[in-house]
Amino acid sequence: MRSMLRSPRHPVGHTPRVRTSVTRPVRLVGLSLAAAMVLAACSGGGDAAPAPAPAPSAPAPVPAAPPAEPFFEGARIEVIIPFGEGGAGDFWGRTFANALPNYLAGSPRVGAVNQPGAGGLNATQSFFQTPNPDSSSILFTSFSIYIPWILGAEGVDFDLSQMQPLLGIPANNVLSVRGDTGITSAADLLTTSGELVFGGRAPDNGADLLGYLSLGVLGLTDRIDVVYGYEDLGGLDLAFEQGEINVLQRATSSFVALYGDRVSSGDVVPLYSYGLIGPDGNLIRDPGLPDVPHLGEAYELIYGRAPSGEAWDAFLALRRITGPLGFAFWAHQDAPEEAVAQLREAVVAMIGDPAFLTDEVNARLAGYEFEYGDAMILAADALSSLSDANRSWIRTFMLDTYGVTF
Amino acid sequence: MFLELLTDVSFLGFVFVGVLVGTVVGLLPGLGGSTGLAVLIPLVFGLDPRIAIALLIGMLAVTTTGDSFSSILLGVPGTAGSQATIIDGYAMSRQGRGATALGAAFMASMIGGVVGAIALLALVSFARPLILALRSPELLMLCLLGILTVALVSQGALIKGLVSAALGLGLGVIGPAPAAAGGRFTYGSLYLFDGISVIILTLGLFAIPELTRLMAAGQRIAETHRLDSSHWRGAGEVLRHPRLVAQSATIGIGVGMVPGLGGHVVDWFAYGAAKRTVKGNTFGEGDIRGVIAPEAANNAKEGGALIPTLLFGVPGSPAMAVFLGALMLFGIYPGPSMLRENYGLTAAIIVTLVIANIMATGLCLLVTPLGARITRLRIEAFAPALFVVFAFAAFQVTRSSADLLLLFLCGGVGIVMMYLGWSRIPLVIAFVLVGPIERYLLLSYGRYGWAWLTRPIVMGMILFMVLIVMSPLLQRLRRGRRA
Repeated sequence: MRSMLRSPRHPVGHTPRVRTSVTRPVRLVGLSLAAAMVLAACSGGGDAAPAPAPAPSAPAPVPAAPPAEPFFEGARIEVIIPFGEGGAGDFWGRTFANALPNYLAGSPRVGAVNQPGAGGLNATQSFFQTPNPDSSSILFTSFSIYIPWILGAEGVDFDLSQMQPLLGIPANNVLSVRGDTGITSAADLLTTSGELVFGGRAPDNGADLLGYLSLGVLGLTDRIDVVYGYEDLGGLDLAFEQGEINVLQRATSSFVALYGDRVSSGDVVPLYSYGLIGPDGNLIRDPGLPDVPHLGEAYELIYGRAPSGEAWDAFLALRRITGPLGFAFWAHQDAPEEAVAQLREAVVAMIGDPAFLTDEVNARLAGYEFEYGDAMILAADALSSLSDANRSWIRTFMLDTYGVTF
Repeated sequence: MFLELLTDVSFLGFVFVGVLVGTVVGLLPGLGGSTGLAVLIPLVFGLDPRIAIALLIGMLAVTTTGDSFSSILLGVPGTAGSQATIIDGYAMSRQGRGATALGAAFMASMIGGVVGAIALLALVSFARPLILALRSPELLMLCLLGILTVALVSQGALIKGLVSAALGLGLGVIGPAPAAAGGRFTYGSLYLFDGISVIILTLGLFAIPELTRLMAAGQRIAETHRLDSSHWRGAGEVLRHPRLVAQSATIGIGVGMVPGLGGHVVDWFAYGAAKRTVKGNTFGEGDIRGVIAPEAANNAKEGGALIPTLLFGVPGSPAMAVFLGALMLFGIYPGPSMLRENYGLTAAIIVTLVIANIMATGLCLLVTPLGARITRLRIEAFAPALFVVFAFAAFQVTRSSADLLLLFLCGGVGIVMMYLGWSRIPLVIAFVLVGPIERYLLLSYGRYGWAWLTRPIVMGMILFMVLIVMSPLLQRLRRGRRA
């Protein structure tokens, strides 16, 4: 073994050390390595990174009555985004993190950090399990994280009902088909023939689940095939473009941005959205797509009567739960009362400030209303309100139709 | 509107900052292109979009230039796409010709990058039909071709390469399944649930064994006593092989354009093609053309990868995925509508690419003599520091001690493979391609049933692959018949 490790051409023992011409580069190498390490260290956590420049129009702090003792005086808060950089959720996470110091008493430093992994479950798990009595972390979630928890999936070790909500942003998806299928409205779905293929990422993907449920509600599980395996939304978009799939589900704001002009030309036909929840608890149309029926109306278009039955009950229940807090910010279950109260006050001030509502924010909001205050707390409580009957219906449906266990 | 930016000094300044960051990131082994971009995104959020894009493009364009330092000087891939450079580049470095190799690498990178940018300009309007024709079955075939190519060109017998690839496929399976719940071979560990990190695998397989070998032997990297410090000569050498550069850049653009293939195999395709087409080559023993080919392809692929990114909003490589996310953060949604309404932005991106490539080359060439001196340092002088850098890079993955444990385990595997003469490169390539292969296979069968095999492009590629594997056999038969 020893002979393998040494080259026979070089004698054993030291060669005399060559002086300055070699040691200077060593120092320079060391210096540049150190500099690079500092740079790399700046990537992790918001700590060492310089605070990013504020949004184009610097928001003016709203003069609410300052609390006697600002809880976050001199503090540092980390907003945890459980997805990769640059996603749709990233925008909300970072916008929130940038704006918060201007409204929160004590003007703490707030930075956003991405912790992707396991569809957001890793970061949520670690947030929940790490003690946080000084409320120095805030979690950002999307509803794809709620689904495994709501359905009682295996391996979920966090409890959303203990976390304290700060702000909610509704989310809605729209289901469309390619124009070349000849389908112009939901009513055509059962009267046309021709292959219909829905593209999904993974069968247990929380974001795709509502899509499958909607197919169940409309009785289309035999009519529309599902193909899984697309890596991400970009892959789905491309496949839709190619015609490899011809049924696509997309979030409303992305759909309008990406496909808006092709809807006008008839190349892409939105059939229905999952609907937002109106004041009486029933589905209403998406304000960003006022001409697109919601799922209940799509059912009527096909069958000529209002929807009913177990599938519809389960869908509506799940929609009521996941719609209002499609995206949400949460304080830790350990966070003390005054911290949460001050955070919530800051949120109210923030979303009421016209300077915060830039064009970009409004475009992303796509006509929805922020969820805050009591309505938001009720919505958060509702997350655990899915009835056992509905839950078991959903689990059975997914198992029988698509072979998926949660 | 955007074209005015090009005369704006502050804009160019920001491009330079991006270039600087990109070069440093590419230089350090283990911090790949997409890692560097991810570092920059938090910093750019909130800046003017045009400035942010300048930074990001500057960064993106040049990680594939700076990575040559690590590949050539240390034999450790700086980014995933510069592994092929190691074969001849590191060999040259050990012959004391590291500066020449670096000069050639940078010049080839620059020309490749510029050609890639021009191709982007020319093709972005025409590439649509080609990209639309490449569906899941065709993409699957391309991935398989990638593995075959690597097994072929890596040193040693083809069968060893394939076994190494099989090992890589096995390791790649660990982690989440592409379209099912739960993980595979994760044994309940949350760490393994996300799979093995390619960064740690690469560092462990290449960096650790090489440093270990050098330290055990007490050698310098360059075994000769005189350094050949002619990086300008190396750069000039590139200009004497225009056809090779053009061929490699074309391969880079073509492969870069294919969404989902990733940036890992493009340099291998170029290297493999060069090995077959360059007459009288001594590839594997320090042939400068073995450096020129992969480096030109590597940079050209960034231009190619921008085509599906801008055309469809589908990332052509992992770094593009992060870039795309950044664009969307600024409300810029690439796609056919963007090209129609915002062609100025596209043009600005292309020109920025060109400028960034040129800046990076200049920067790297200036630093080359200093860098090449490292190969003359006694290994004990800097190897411990390098180990720390590798451990640091590994630790960035999840910032837990499991990262370091995995690094040492992979290092162990790497050392064994090195001393037994099994090429590690097919392992890594197969490892990164497992995800796409399984995904495309699932999609191909799910969507088309067995009919996916009878699609014309698929059949053509199967035939092509069979011919490649059979060609040494056929040659032997022909020789036998003549004798």
